[in-house]
Amino acid sequence: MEMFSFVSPEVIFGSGTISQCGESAVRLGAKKIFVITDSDIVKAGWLEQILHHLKSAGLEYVVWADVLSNPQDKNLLAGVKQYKQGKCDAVLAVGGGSPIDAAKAVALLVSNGGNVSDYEHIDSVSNPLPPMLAIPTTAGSGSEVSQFAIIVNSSEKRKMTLISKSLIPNIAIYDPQFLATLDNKSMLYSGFNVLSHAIEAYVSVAANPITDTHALDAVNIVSSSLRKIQQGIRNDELHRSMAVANMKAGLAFSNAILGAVHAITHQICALYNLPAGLVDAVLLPRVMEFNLPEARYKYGLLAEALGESVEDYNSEAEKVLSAVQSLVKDTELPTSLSQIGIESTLLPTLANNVIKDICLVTNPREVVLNDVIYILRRAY
Amino acid sequence: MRKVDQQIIAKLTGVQSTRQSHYAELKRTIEEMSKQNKRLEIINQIARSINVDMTYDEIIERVAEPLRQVMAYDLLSFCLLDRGELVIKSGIPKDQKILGVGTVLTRENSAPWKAIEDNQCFLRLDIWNDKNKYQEDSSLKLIGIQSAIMAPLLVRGEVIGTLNFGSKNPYAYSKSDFVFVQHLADQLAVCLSNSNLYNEVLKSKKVWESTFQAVPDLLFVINKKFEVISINRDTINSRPAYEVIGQKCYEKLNSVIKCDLCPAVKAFETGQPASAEMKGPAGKIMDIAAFPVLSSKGEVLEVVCHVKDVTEKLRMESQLFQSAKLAAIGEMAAGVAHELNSPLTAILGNAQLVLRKKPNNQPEYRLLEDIKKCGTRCKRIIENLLTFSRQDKQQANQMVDINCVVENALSLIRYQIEQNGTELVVKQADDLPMIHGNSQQLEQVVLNLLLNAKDALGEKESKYIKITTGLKNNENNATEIFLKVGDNGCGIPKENMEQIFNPFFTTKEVQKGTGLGLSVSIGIAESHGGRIEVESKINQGSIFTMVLPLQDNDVEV
Repeated sequence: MEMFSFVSPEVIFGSGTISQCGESAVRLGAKKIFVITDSDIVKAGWLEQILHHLKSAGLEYVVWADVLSNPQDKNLLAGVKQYKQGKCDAVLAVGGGSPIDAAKAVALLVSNGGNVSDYEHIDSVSNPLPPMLAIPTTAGSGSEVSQFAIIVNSSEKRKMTLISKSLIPNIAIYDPQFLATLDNKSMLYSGFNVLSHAIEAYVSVAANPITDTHALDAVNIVSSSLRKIQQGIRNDELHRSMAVANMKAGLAFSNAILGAVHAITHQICALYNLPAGLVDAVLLPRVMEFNLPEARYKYGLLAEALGESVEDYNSEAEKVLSAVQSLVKDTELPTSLSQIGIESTLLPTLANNVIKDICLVTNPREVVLNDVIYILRRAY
Repeated sequence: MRKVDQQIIAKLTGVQSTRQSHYAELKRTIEEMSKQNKRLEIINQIARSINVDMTYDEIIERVAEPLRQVMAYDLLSFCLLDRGELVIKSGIPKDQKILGVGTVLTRENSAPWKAIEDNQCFLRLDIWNDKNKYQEDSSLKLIGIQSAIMAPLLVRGEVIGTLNFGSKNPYAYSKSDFVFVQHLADQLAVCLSNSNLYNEVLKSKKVWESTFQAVPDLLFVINKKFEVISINRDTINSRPAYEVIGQKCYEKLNSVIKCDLCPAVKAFETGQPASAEMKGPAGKIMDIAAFPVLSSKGEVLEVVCHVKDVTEKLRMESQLFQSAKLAAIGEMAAGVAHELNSPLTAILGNAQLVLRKKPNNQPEYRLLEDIKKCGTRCKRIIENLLTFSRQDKQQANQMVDINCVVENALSLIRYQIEQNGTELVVKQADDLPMIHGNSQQLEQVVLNLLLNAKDALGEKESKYIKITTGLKNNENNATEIFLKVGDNGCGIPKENMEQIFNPFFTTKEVQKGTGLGLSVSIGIAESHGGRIEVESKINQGSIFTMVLPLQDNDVEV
């Protein structure tokens, strides 16, 4: 790669950094902030804490806690309306990938107008977005640092991937404390989400030296963390590691984009309300198997990062497949689409949606419709 | 690595993608605001510089230059609806031939009409390649116009026309220009409509003013303070109307008319029209009529005064009156003369019979001679009376010898004059030509002048009346006949000089004079194309001269 660019938001990292949200927002010029979150965060009491910090910093706020997982374009309009009625001037997203993506979309619509689908193509964002802060409460989406926002097109029942540097939040606040409240299952799903981000970014055709470093680091950290979680080991160090892995994978895929795993996961999640990490765990080995001939060397390096001992990366690239398969096996996650309830009759529809997903652009091996069907069959 | 899609990747997250910057947005916003400010400023400037009395060309000229600073154009015009047609009224460039001033755009398939029908700006981005064709397109192509924007001119929600911009570049305008163009059009529409209204008002004002001016009499309007609001002309003092407007009518217009009798005062008081005949300056007689202008509540706001100089009319009337009177007297005189004729014939005949038989050395002979002489004189007086009384029955246009006129007049009055102890001097030129005229009327003039002279002499000692006739040349070297009647009587005071020819003006005792003599005389002189001149000195006497022109066919004697 002759030329590359790399973007990252300001990152505030560490235990207790949740307390920084108010002051950070003030520094971005916010006076009345629009807080976007979901009911789980409200129930967990996190929202209360955050509002307290906003108040302490002298900020006014409007709370919109109606975000559902896998947010749909039609539901976002209520948020846009509230933002405008409340005359807000900044956005704070708290939660997993769904509230952060929803926040990005709301910020996009309040500043650029129109509907989410208007921004599905390249170079369509013309106005800067209001200042955005993101506080991830899981370790999976990476949305807090990424230029992506994934929104369901409710009429077409497919996910739209919006990509623009303008969608990157201004500040991402990582507080590992949040992870302590997640159950093991959720942690595992998050882990596979991170792993698939990192692996896909690493083999992406748009990867660059900076994304490579972050991706390999993330793979390395997450593979050891996943086994510990399976063993029931949960401590601050593990949470901190998972948060770092999440961030690094996020930075990697934000700049290198993803591949076929995410292209398929996006579309499955548009039809089935499943955790992305769970779907990723099923698809990852199948896609890697498909891609392997096009990126043997990098897969060899990935095998090493996953803990395999590899002497010749090119010839021993296949080791990466068994490494991932054993990780899925060790964490007792499902290995086929049928196991997670996907109906075979929907596979053609799915494949048609997948082929439109922008993430296929950077997949190391070119993917045509038949390839998608092949992968889906293999994974079924 | 696959070679495809590098371009897409570069634009998605790669080197060809950059986060939108607030600084850039701010700059854009400021630029846009400055542009809008500048445009507002231009609109204000334009609005300020347009006056109601400007022509369409002047208006567009005022608009054209400042507009260039904020809106590029190669063709600028405005059309106005004129009896259902849209007509180009003015435009820039000024000498535009195609789509120039006067071009009529019919309603069918016309872009400006679309702006009118949609009641909003109509934008044409690329006219030459536009799938929708309009009637103006071929003309626009001829003059190189590729894009255009048209805005309806709205006044109180009603469309009066369109404002049109054209550019030689395609895509020269965008929807973002709508606000400005419409704003400008609105402003312009108000200016144009004001100008229209102004011209209409001006037109009706002119019509009213010329009507007002057409009245030859003095016509003026006064308010409650008796200040002149408007006036057609000051016929009394012959000064320009502006000198009178705003002044009190009683100060500027009539120093003579007594305000307490003025019908204007009465009209203000009663709210009813009033009129009166009053004496004006220089002895003129004025007929004044005052008409109140009432408010909707019936209150008198103003009074319109009509002042008519009726001096001449009255003179004519008095002449008629005098003529009628004379006719009556004449008839009576004729009757009396006729009655006297028979006994006089007997006296004269008998006196002659007796005389014939009497030798002239007898003392009775002289007495009889005296009877015959006096009888003959009586007969002549009667004949003259009969002649005079026949005047209206005579031909008005006869050949008249002025000396005869004098003789005839004297025959009627000589006795009265001489009996009074007045010396009568008659100096008649013997080369006077005959003139066309009415001898009886002229005799009347002489009679009037002699009677006046007689009355002017009064009880003075050494009185004389001098009658002179002759020819003289006037300043135009035309020969005129004059007839002078001079006396050495009391003379005429200066203040009366102007009034003596006015009807009913008299200084004589009520029984003695009617005030009609001179008034009638001047009327007769004028009807003969002549005039009466007066010279007078107090206590030294007066000379009245009737001057009559000689006409081409007047006969030399």
